[in-house]
Amino acid sequence: MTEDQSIPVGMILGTEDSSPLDWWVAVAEEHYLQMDDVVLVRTDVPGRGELAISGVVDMVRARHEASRYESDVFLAQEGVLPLQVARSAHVVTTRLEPELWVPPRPGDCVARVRGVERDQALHFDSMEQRLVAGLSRDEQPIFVDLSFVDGRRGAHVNISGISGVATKTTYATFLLYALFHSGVLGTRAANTKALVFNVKGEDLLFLDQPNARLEDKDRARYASLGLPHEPFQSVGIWAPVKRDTVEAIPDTGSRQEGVKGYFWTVRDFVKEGMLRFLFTEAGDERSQVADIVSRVESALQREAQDVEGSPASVSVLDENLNRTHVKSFKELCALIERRLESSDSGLVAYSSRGTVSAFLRRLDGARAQVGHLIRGTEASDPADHRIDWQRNQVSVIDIHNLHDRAKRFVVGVVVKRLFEEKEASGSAEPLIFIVLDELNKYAPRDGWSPMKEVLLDISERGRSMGIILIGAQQTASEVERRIVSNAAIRIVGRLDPAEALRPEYGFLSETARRRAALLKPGTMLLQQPQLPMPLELLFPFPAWATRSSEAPRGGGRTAFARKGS
Amino acid sequence: MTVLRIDPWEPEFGASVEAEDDPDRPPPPLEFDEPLAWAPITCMPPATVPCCAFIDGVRRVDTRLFAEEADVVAPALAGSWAVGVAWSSRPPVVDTVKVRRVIVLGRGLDHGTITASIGGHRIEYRVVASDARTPKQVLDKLQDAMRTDEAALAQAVADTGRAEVIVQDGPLDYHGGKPTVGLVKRQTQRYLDTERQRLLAMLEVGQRTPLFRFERGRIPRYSWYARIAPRRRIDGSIAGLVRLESHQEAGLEETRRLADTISGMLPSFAAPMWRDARAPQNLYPVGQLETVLRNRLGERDVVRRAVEAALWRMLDD
Repeated sequence: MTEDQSIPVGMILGTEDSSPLDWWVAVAEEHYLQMDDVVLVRTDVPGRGELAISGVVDMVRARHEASRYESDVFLAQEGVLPLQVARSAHVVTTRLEPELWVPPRPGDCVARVRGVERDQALHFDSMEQRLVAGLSRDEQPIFVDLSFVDGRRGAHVNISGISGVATKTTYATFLLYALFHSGVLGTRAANTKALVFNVKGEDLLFLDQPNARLEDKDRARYASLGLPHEPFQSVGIWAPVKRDTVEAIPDTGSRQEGVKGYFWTVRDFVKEGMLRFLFTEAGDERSQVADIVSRVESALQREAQDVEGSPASVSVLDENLNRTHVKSFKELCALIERRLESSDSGLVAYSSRGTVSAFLRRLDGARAQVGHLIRGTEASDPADHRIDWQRNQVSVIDIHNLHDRAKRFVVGVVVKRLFEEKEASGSAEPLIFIVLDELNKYAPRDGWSPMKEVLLDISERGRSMGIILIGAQQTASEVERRIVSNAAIRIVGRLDPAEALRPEYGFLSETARRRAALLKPGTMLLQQPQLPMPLELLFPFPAWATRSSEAPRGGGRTAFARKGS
Repeated sequence: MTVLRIDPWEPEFGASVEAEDDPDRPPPPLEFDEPLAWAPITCMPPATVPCCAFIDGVRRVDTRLFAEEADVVAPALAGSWAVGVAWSSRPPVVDTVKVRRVIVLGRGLDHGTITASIGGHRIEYRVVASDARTPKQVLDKLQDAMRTDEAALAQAVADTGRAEVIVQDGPLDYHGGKPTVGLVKRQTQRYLDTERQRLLAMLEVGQRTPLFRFERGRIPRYSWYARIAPRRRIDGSIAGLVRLESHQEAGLEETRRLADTISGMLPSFAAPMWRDARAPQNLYPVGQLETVLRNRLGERDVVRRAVEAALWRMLDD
């Protein structure tokens, strides 16, 4: 018997109702069915011929048939009471061919299917371009339809799960790897780019290094997925610059080599309207502060003029409306303060004294946390340290060491600029993927922030603009509803049982919710538009290093070996 | 003074003591071969339950019929029965189930086989002509046919040599293979004289009476009573008792050993009172076997409708 053969495993049973949507299988003594097995039953429809109904097992059970008392099992064990064990499986229909909505009949033979029949059952055969998304428990590949990822029919991927167990980031990286290395993008692959924000640890700073802990069985898994086992081929790694250094040294722990420090210039800050991204704290939008922010931002933008020989700074008007050269971010903040304290500057307008004070307090706070990322005349070679995602196929932007406010600033500025560039280009090609974990920080369910606005724009218009968001969060219930609901592909790793009951996970069946509470690292449930139910999938151990100890020239950090993140 | 005591069986199953015709019918002459006083014999439960084959059958009247030919109207019925084996193996299993269906005709009338259809299946009633004159006699023919199948099954099981003991439901009215015992749940005939009968009330669980030998239907056999479940003080004196039989051919010594084994073993197969309408005499494996067999007979209403449809068809043809 080869792996590609279909095996008859049982019959449609007659003690439970069969319907066109779901049915029960009595499993034959010498066979078994497990959850997620793909099965097929052929039934004869009078006058219409044969109907093939395929489905996926979503529950299996075993019981003593017609046993009335719980204690019967002990009697059976002692040889006293003969009882029949009945094993059965519940199947959710995934496909009817031809589309005749009639149930299978009791007694119809059910087979576990492989190969072409399995592909048909899971609609893989109708996917023009299929992206491999993982392996089923029986080591068969699971695909998603690329047209639901790249914006043609749908876009965006959303991943939920408990931190540390759900392996959200690792899976998002695997999905990117599959996109770039499976050949599914064809000639488009060369121009397609990905922007990955590294929000926790330094997991993503080694994407370009092979994983020294990869074993043969992992390599075999890559082979069954039709993927090479190698690190990402073209990776640019960006980390925030260290504070108080003239040189733009990247502020990373375990890796310095090949990492580019990033910062923005005062000129960038003023001319590109970045001020608003300093005001992204929850509650900022409720006060009148937002009003002042936009007034200050647009005034500076309007007034700014380049200064000869100083590409990193600009001149703007001071409180006396005299043009003055602003050489550093510190000077810029001081200038803003002076102008707001002077009633002649035209910036205060109708804002109250209290609102102005609130604005200044926050500006001051932001300066302490974000200021080192905005350099003035002291900056050397600013063009080289400006994040450029066109340079490499995958650009990793490290923000994990930054204060929350600075994280939001970086993500907001980068994503906004990307959005504006794509908008200006007017073409969906080439595609760009944004991988961002902790969406709940950037687009929380409640309140408004410029950050959330940009992400919402991407989730609603990104599909036509070729910007695809691979977003992740611990709890989808804390993320802006529209961002989650716009994702065509939804994935969950281990979920908190209470979280799994929330309506955001309505796509999970009752059994899937229960399973979500038990998923191990490396196992996810994937929901895609063609299938009425989520599929469980496993993905291989990363072929790229996820910590310095896994990299060939890695340092001494050996803890947490072979554990996902 | 008259004392009232309980018969533990559920009333709809009849009484656990029920004389067929005449309650005072004289017992057959008995021989007492065991060189023992008439006193309880304690039988130790075996360390491990031996591999027993419990053989039983269930029968059912699917529908009662009249067979009419010219001026003769004879009682008849369409009936089904099933026989099978419950093994006390590990795990215990039920197997070798056979289902038969017959039309029994009285007064010597005859008829061809009747085929009824249920769904895509056909069930056949072969015809048994008999001289039965009353509905009860027709029913007895059905019972006899089932008993014949039970005996054949017991013989077949004995031939396999797999069973250490074969326990058959009811008396052993055939010459059979060893080591078979017949288990009589319902006491329909008194065998012992008044003095010996007193011992029955004194039997404790796991105890048996000495053997007694007699002949019925020209089949000589040994028999004994054994208590398989405790008796409450309010229960009748023979509640929890069974009568067992084995073929005389096995010889006295072999039968004594068998009687000890069986009587020691049966209490572990006796169902508690709440569990079965005929507890404790209806043993666990037998009760479960009957459930399986009844299920194999099919839904009575469905079968009955199928027979009616077959009769309609024959009328139309």
